[in-house]
Amino acid sequence: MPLSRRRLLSGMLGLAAAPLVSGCPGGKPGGQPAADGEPAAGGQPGGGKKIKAGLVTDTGGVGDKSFNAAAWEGLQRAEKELGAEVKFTESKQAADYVGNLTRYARGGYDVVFAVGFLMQDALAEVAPRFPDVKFAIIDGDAPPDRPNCVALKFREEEGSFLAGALAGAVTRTNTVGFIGGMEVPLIKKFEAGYKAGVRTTNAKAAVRVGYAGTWTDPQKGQEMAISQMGAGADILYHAAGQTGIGVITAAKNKGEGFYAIGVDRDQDDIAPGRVLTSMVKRVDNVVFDTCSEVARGDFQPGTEVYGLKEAGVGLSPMRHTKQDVPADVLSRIDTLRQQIIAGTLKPPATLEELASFEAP
Amino acid sequence: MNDLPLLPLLASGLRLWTPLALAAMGGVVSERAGVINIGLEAMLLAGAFGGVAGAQATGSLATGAVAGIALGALVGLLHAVLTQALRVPHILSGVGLNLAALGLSTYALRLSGEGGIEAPGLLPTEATIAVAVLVVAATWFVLARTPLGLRLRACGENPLAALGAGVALGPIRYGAVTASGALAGLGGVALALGGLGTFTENMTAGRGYIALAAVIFGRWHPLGAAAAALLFGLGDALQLSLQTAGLSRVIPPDFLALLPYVLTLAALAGFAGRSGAPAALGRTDG
Repeated sequence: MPLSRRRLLSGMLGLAAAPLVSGCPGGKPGGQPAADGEPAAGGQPGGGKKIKAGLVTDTGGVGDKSFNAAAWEGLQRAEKELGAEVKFTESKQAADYVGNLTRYARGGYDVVFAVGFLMQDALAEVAPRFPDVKFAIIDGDAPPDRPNCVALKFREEEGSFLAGALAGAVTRTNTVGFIGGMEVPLIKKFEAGYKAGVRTTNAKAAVRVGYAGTWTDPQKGQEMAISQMGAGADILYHAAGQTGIGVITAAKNKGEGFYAIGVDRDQDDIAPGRVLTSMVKRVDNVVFDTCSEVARGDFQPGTEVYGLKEAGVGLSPMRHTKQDVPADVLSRIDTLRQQIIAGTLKPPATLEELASFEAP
Repeated sequence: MNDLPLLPLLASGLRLWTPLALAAMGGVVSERAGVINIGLEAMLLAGAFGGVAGAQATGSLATGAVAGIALGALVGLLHAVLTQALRVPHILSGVGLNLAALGLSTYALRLSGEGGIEAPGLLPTEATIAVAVLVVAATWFVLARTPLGLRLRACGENPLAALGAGVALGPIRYGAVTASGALAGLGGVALALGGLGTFTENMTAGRGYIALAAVIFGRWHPLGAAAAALLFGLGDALQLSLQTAGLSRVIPPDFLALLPYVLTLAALAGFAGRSGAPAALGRTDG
């Protein structure tokens, strides 16, 4: 857990440095704690100054119980543990991105998060005008050569690979399914990693693939799932947002012997026992981590990619299904996980890479 | 074609048809009375929300269904007040209601917290399909074979003549648009409580607009609109099955997703003839 170790270390440094900072005449006056009524406690666990952090979502909103919600959780943790002042704005439409980002940049915020690749262009427009403000975009590209911008990305193919390896080992029909929201490169990463994982543990298994063409239509997800189950698939992995809720419902309605695999956050509780596992993207960790970097004055521009090794992606703890999976399968999955972390196994991120992928 | 079993395909098509057909009947009733109803999306969403939230609050699917229908009817009544009493242009009113319904239902979903809005059970989809078939037949019967239907159609064709003949224009239009909301609300109930049992943000995903298109393609006739919706539902089921069968390796899924639209257009292009729109549709001056 390199993340937590780093956090612990910086926390200790923060504690040690606190008396020095408060007595330092050159430092910023107290990190403006009195203004917002926060207790002026020295020695924040994250160290550094108290920052203001803003978050702009795309049109999904922080109530999506998925991606945006996780980003907001990360900020709330920064509020609690770093004493940061945090706020979010939901974009009503794509035309609002620039205005929403600008408002935070003008409002004296230290770091502004743009959630989702849709905000890429807006970020490229706003960031150069506010060189003193740090910007972080999640799942998108940062404008090149901007020292105040970082792109936070995930190796979704690594988590999806483990999900596929598990599905390949658990399927009784030698057929599993994948249901994507829209056919975009980001979701192809999930598909490629998943298929490679299935192939690794079950060379005979077939993967049925469907794209619903929408992120918000659970009925369509359900019909897609019913169609795939009709063709023999007994485990269905979705990367389809709310459309995927229909996939999980389909597995739940079908009952014993059928599983869904959730995505982005731990969805195991949506249908306890019928969601085999979830491929979790720790957007919260990544957002929190960036906040503490800014607080420490240790902001790194460029691109940061979070995979299994950085605890940015991974499988859920399988609270309801662990007992259904044989121990040797679980240990096989763990071995594969270790191999990916060690770098000896590299799951494919595109269908082209998948074509030349050789299962270990 | 072992990968395209016919019966499951038909069943899937009928499940996809049900909310569309019910909303389309709402569209027919409203528009035949002379009121454009682009607010079907809002009424569907209200029905879906009311259905699941009502079932969750009372623990009863039947009460939930009634709540969904009532909430849809309420949105319909609002559309009637806006367009009839306040003379708001019909499309403006409908689009406004769509935005408001999406915003309000999403806000309520946020307030509901981590557990979301979940019904305690499911309505069997066989039942919702059967109800939709009955509603289509009843809509046709009322419009074509009853004095009330004649009066309603008169309000859409020539409101002044209808008034002159003693037809109660105001009450009939209020009633028609409210009934339209109830029908679309029932569609939302079928969508959310039949099979899914949960409410998610914007879960109608544009079905109201598709239903309105079905009304127009079906030339404002209940059976025509139901047939157009059926083509759409079957087309959608077919493209999902084709993806399952592996066709998306050859044809990109985005193109396959066009199939229901193309099918519906192609089939209905054959039915050329008079346009069939009620003559006074959308007028705010009569």
